[in-house]
Amino acid sequence: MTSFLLRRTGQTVVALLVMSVLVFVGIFMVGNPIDILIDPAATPLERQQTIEAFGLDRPVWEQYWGFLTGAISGDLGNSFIYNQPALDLILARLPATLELAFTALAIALVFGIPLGIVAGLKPRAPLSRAIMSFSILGFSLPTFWIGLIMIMAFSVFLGWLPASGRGETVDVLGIPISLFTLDGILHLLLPALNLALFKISLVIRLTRAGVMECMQMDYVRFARAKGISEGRIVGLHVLKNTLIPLITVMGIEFGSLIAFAVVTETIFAWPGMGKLIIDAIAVLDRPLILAYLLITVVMFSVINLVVDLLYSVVDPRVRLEDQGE
Amino acid sequence: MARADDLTLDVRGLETRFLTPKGPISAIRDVSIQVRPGEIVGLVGESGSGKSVTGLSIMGLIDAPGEVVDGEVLLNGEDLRQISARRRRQLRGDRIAMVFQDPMMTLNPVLRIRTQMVEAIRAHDPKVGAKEALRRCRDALAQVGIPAPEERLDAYPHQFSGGMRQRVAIATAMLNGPDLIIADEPTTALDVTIQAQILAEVQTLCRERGTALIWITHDLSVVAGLAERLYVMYGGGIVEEGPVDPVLDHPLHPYTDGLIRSVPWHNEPGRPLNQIPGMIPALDRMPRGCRFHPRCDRADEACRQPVALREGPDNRRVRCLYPLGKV
Amino acid sequence: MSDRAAVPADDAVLAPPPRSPGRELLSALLHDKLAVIGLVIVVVLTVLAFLAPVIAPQDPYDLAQIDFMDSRLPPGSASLAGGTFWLGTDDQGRDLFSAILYGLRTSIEVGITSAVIALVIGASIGLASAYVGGRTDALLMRLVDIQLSFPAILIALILLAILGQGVDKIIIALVVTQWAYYARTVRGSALVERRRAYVDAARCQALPRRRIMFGHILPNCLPPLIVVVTMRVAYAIMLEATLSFLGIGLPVTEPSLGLLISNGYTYLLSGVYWISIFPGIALVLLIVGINLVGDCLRDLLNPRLRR
Repeated sequence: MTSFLLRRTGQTVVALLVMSVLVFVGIFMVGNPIDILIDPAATPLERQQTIEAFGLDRPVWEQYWGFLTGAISGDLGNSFIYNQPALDLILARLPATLELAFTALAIALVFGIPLGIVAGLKPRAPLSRAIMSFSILGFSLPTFWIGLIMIMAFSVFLGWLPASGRGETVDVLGIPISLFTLDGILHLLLPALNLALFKISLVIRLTRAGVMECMQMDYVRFARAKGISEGRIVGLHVLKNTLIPLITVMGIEFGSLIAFAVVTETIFAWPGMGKLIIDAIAVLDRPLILAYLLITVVMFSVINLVVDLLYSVVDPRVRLEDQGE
Repeated sequence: MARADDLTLDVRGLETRFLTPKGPISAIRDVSIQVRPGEIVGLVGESGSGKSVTGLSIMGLIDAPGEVVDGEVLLNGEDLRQISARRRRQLRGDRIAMVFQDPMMTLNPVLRIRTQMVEAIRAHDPKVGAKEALRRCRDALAQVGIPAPEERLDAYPHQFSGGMRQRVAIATAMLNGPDLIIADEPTTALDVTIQAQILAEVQTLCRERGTALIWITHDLSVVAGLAERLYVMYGGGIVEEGPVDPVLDHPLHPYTDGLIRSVPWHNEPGRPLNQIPGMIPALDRMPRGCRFHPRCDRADEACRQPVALREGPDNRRVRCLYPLGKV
Repeated sequence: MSDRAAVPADDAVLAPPPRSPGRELLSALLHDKLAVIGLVIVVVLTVLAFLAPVIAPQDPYDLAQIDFMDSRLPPGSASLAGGTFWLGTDDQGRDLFSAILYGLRTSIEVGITSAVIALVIGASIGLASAYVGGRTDALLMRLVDIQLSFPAILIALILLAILGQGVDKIIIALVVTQWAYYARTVRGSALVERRRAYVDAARCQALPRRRIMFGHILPNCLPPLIVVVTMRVAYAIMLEATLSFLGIGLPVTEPSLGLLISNGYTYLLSGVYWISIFPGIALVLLIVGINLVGDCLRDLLNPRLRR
């Protein structure tokens, strides 16, 4: 277990290094943030001073080394635009994004698994066909556009739900959470549903495929031969086997939820880190982009770790030590 | 033959169809099997002869697009095809149990043995306490020769060898002391030595407990030492039945004869093996009349008409116009 | 072998009589109602999009043809020049119907171009990986795994942040996000195919490696690849629209459904719904159409569900 964790941490560090070099060099080579940072009316002297203040005159490897030494001590540099530590900016907005992504994941599972089971048990029934058609639609509706439609329908037209912002939050262990106030939940509902829609379709399909496959297995027949009720067969025998591929895919998909939150946050003015990164990209705010990426890589590593742990809980054939390669 | 209510299982005129893109096709037709209490019966045939479908049809485990369309399945006088699904579920695993071919697949890979055994008890008697249920599981495992059953209960299927898994499956089938077990080639996937051990154990257990057994196999040598009576299937129907020794020594049906002569018996080294010419026809291309006649050297025009099951000596029956012995 | 030909095995009997695989697939596809609907949608939209210069009332990206005075007119309004804006106009005074046709054309072009390039790159890498095997294979597949563990939109965001805007840039970004899917798909089926007897036979004839890979193995990897291509084209179109909506995809000078929707978003709350709604419907129709076809193909080409 310890060696497993150590190896994982090592992999994460390597991924962080590679990622930071690629992006650092990439951004260095193409864009010059100075044109955006400095008032066009500035004197050449002021311009020179700013360049030196940001260290933008030094060669790329020197700049990277400076970044790296800073990063080790937890300093990812100051955002060019906000002139605040980039890491703090990201971390301050991380909880909102995570809350959105988790809620969306929960919605996707709560709706997707039962619908997928229904569609998988009787693949030819009209209801199952309806569910599958819905899932094709869910795959095909662009998140950003369906977000607009949701705002139109539920906020403008019906006036039921707020269209933007995060609403009232409650601090839990110093982290603002909106799930504990009605206002917060109401604000969360539309964005979370918007983000979840694509994943509901995915969960439906995965669950359906898994259920269809498992129902043909001999162990289901054997369970029937034992006289086990159909409810227990589906709810225990089949579901537990279906969860195994579902967990793996959902691990990767959780990462994509965090990434796609960029879109949802833009539409619903959700104060998460997605909105921040879009603005940062527009002005080539290098420290902010880097900080976002590094945080994302760390998060993905943690997600992968959690997935593997969950996996070993659900699937007894998997032993963590065995999966080195 | 004994009266119906003395029989553990009395199957009459069973027919199972599968819906295919070309229309319904009968996988088995007019299958009748009788099993007395505690009797061990062999059901023999090549792959594709319909023996597995027969087993599943008796259990009511035929999945769509298949369906049992005709016949009676009387278990202790109760017709399994007429009773409610609920009652059928109560009987399955309690009075009638089944063991399948592939031991690697019959146990659920993600559930502990304990879970999979206890549920078989609880499904039929929810009042059994956890301790009592576990004790019964332990005893059942010990009876099929699993060492250290206490620890093995907490294991998962992948921690067992194939033979051990099949033992677990058999122990599970026996948990509630059923009147009849249908074993669908349970030892085919195993090594010969393990097969012999399991055969011996099953035989002893059935004798001790008075459990009747239908052993489905393609291997005549297995039933020769195990069963008391034999049913031979070909092309979805029963072609010959009777007590094991007379059937094997003096087969009446040309197919049974061909089958026996194609088995390498170890007491006759050097004897050239016989081949039955041709193959079992596909289900949608079954010939009319005797289904074996295109491959039979005794067949003539008359064999193209439906052939009835004829009574022979020693409680034997054969579905042939020109049997090899006196009928 | 001759025996088998005389008396076919069970499953061979049930299979339809052999025809060319492509035709058989097409006829099966035409028997699926949803797939036909999808196919019709895709064909109609594609024809409309590529005839845009002919059938569109105006060229909405030619500044000489649009009048700012026409901006944000509701559907059915008359234009200053005398025509009718059946779907209304956007905030620049462009005829929405025309803008949608031009935008569809960009979407289809970007989607298909990126898919084809990614397909060529990915399939070659996948094929080579499977054929060479060993350490190269392990390394390449590790790369594919890493790439696939990052969401496509994140990779596209970073790339576009580095590359900037433009049709070529977004195609590059889409290729980078897609190639790994093709590589993995092709490698998977190629590994199975490589062990088949016909590959040994080709090797015994001392055919050149490239010929075995592309001439013998690749055609047999096509079925799963076709499914992946359809689904990926749909996703690429959706991703392009999303990135353009976010303002980091196509530049404002290019016709794009995403940009149109983004423009309309500003006016959505003031009741000017049409600028966002109509381009969105066109986009959704296109993606749904492709996905309906892809979904049917997936069922048809999946050997597990064939029975």
